[in-house]
Amino acid sequence: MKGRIHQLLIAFTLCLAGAAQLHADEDSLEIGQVRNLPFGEVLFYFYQDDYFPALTRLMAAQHRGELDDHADDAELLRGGMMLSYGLHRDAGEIFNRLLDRKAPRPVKDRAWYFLARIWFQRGYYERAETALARILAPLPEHMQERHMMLRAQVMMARGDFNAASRLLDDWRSDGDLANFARYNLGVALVRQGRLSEATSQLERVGRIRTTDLEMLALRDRANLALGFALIQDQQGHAARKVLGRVRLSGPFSSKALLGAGWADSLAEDYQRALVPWGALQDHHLLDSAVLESLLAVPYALGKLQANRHAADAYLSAIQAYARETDQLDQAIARMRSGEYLSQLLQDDAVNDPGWSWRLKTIPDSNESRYLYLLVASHRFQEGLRNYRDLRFLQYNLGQWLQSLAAFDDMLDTRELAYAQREPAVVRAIDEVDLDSLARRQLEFAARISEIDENSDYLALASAAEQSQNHRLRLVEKKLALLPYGSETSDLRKKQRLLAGVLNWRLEARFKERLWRQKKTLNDLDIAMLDARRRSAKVSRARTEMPTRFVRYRQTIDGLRPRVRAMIEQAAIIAATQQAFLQSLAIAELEAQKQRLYTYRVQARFALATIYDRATTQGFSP
Amino acid sequence: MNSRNSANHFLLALVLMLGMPVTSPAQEQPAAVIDGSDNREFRSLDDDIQDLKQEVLALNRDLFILEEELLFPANTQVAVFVSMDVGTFFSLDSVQIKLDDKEVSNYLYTEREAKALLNGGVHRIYLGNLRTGKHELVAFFTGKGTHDRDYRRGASLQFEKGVGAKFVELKISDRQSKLQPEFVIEEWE
Repeated sequence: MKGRIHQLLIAFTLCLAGAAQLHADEDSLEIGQVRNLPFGEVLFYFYQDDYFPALTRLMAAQHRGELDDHADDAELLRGGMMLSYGLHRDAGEIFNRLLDRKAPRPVKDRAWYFLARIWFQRGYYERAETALARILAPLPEHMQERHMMLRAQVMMARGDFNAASRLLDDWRSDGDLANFARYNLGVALVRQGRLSEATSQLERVGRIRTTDLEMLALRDRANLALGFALIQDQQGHAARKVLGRVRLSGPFSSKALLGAGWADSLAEDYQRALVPWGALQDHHLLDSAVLESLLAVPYALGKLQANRHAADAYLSAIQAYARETDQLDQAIARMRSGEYLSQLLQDDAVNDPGWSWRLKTIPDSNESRYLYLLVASHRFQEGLRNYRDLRFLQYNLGQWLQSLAAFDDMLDTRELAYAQREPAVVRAIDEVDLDSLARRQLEFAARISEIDENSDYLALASAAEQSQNHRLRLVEKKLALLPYGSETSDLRKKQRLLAGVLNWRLEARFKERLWRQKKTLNDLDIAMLDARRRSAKVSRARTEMPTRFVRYRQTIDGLRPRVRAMIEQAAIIAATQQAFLQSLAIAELEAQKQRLYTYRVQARFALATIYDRATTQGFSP
Repeated sequence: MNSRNSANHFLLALVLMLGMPVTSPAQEQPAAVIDGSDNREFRSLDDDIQDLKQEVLALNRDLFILEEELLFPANTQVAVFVSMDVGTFFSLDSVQIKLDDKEVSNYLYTEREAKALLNGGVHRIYLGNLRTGKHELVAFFTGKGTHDRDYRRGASLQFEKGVGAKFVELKISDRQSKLQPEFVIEEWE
């Protein structure tokens, strides 16, 4: 049974670690009966995804030595829960320590895969690479492609696009994941300047037939990436064709229209370029492609010698850029105030640890439109999750600080109750002289032994029998004083008969009576032993209780500054984390502002050029 | 304005933006190749947060132990647990517990909790203090039996509370031979 629990735990630990949907038939095992109540209690919370109480109880039970029968399983479970709580460093150590000796090879490999994935997601690429290197045998079939994908991602993250492209080139299957892999391979190849190889990969993704929204978005993305790569390579016609495959109703339509215009302008077909760029004028200004098109349209008009229209369009663009710059300034100010971060988490309960939490909706504000790509990024999401965890830690610590005051009260109450009860206990103990009782018990035992040895059945006779015996002895004495004759002869016979009957009766009952006495003696032994044990416990308690109260008081007094220090530390780290998230967002907003500034400079320069040309060539712009 | 240069200038940012590796969002979160300094800052903060989380977890453990020791000292502590095995013939709704004829707990189980019990979890339904000596525990189990019929059963236990902590387990299991649930109360030392 224990082995079964162990396998189950590893499976669940892996589930936790990767938050993955594992195949039920291979990784979900039947649950066995847990023969350890504290461990079962941990599992009760664990199975409800309440990892914080589960982990607290697990660690408390480990501390009390209650999980010795399940020591390794408990550690693995602790590792899994820690991993899901972002404590990948400690989880890694636990897995390192336990997996090598505990788990079968396939389980070890899967655990290393999940650890690698967590480390990759957290940006620990070297650790991820090391963990991946520890996978020795092929993973189960349903995980092989993900494994390959992760390896490629780690390679790309470490800048080794060459190795990534070599690896992804070996991809053979045709599933959705293969399309993601091909897209990534295509991008990796573009980054290495290997455009023709990239084209074949991105073309395959760009032509997939699908109705799945996710795949449609990927298809658009592949066509867009390839289109822009071809434009960079001055292949305008090819780019136009590729960009034409991007859906106009999709999220990448603006960028595709922008690219299509540039593809046309590369072929010097400015009239045609104005069509997609013109279409972009109807889109929302917050879209970066639309902002760029504001510059592109007058550029094309200028090329078509429509100088007056071009000048007007440049002026409109400059005004639009100025408005957008103002909006960005406001967004940056709001970001600096922390308002946006609070908005992001406003619907989130601060007392819910929710370790599998993910941001599902973003506020309906200008900042969200500027930042949606950043907010959706894994880095920002992880940072936000950490920030959210810190808020929970602050709440948790605050709760404990209040509890410590209650602990003080509890301790006072217990001390008072003890002080009130102690005199009565002392009196009760003083009234009972255990040594004297023990002496009497010994005397009793000696007497029983003597009765047994001498077969003194009269000693165990009942009071009535003792009285009968006494009366018979008196009669015997009286008869002895009387002369012998026919009158007394009958009486003597009767006395002897009655004495014989009594003796026979006493003898017959002796064994049973002796057994009863011995049993009583035995019970007395047990009772005396119990009394001595209790007396010793009470004495020990009387000595220990005051020490224990002092120890509790010291523990509480020691915990209070510890909690306060942690609250301060949590506040500092939370502020740093908030500043980090804000800096990411502000950097993004500043980059957009810088882009607008560049556009404005270019627009002004182009406008000045038109005016200059008008002056020198004598026409009115 | 030179068309080639301007196109390249404008497009560079977009190409870089599009050039992030993507994966299936259902399983593998996209991980962009992120800027080195940001990543270093993220990792350093991440380390700090891990340290703090670890410390808070250790603190929670210490306080949890202290709280139980203060509220329920081992010499008077009594804990009652509920466990389920299989559960084909019984679906648990609630458990009521009486100690020495006094109701000490009446717990209504959510679907999630009942599922956790079926998976092998054990619920500590009651934690309290009792004097040493003889006591009686009566538990009533309410739920649905076979064919979705309302089902209520009781079980009782006379037990001796010694000087150490006392654990009592209320076990609900299937009695295959009678195609009925079985309710057993077991003592643990």
